[in-house]
Amino acid sequence: MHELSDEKLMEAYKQGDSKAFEMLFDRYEKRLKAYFQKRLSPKQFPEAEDFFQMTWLKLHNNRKSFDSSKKFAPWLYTIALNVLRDHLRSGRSKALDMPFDENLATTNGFETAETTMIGRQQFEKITEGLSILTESQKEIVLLSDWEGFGSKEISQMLGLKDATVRQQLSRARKSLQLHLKELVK
Amino acid sequence: MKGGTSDIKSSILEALQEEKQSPVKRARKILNLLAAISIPVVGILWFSFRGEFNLFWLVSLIVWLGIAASAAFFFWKPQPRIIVPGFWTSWMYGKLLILFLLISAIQLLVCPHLAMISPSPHFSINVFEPMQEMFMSWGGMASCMFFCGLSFSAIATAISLFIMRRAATGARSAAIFRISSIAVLAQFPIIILQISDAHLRSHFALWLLGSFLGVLSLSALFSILFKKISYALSH
Repeated sequence: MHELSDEKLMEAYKQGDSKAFEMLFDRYEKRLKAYFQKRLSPKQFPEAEDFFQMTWLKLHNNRKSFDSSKKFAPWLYTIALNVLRDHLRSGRSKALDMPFDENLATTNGFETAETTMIGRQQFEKITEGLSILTESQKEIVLLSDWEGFGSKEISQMLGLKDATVRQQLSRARKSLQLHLKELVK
Repeated sequence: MKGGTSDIKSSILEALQEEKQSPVKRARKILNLLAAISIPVVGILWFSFRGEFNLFWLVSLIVWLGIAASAAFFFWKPQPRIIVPGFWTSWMYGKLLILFLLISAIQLLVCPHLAMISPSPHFSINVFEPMQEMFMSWGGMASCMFFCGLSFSAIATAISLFIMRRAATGARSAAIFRISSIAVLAQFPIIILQISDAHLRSHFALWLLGSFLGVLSLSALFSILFKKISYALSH
């Protein structure tokens, strides 16, 4: 079962297979948590756990509508994006784009692979760099450069044209490069 | 109360197990819950108002049992039983409907006047008598019906949402509207008793309006209040 693709696992999960669900959950748990952490400010990390749970609840409730001819990861991230958008629309977010707070990131139990792998200083720089981008640019950069989605998949997730995604990505990368160069200096 | 990452995983796994249960086993769980909530309520009401029972009481009781059965059905519908702030499942709506149904039955004991019944000689709690007199002095029966509906539903909402405070945190407008509709639905058996009385028939709409406004305002207030408290505690 370990060799099965996400789509095959999702198909089995749709039929009620608990093992398939567990495999999918384990495959995406850290990745999805890290995504929420990057999309939110450190002060919002306690809420990230709620968003993570809400994403899986929505996925479970809508699992019958999953089209197995399509990829699983973009579908999961579309749900996660909608959860975030609902949150931003409701005006519950108060601290978006806050500067990085090292203590908050490590004491709330929502530490990501990034914070341990690339070191806190670098993570701080990248988080700072991301904060200069617009919300849509940040979303595209994270989905492309962190999560590894192609521009076509991102365009489907965000409901944008492929060309717009590529254009925004190029602009965002240039801004990030400039910002990181200045930080290194 | 569930809340962590392992809980979301285990609650989905439990839901998948529940889906595999036989309809007979599920029906037994629903019937057990229905019996647990209806036997004490029917028993106390029968004991208190046994001299008043008529056809309208019977219809009202059947409607109450019907609503309670649907609440038990929603409660035991296979689903992840986990509370995530702002995310309402049919399990939570079922639980809320049960709470409102119990409170609506208690209302009759506390204030039998709202169905034009005299306080029971066997068992009555007349704690709201001074409040009713005050409402009557403001504008007679119309005022009393409106403000009684408003205050009773506000108290019922406050109790119910306090019990379910984690779910009520940051509830969106759609959820608040559904909570209000559930509260009004739970009052339906009392409305039947009010319609049966010629004097109350012309005022029951005011009572209904008061109830709806009471639950709507309180649930909106609690949603904001709980959100502020949880935000303050987490930061």
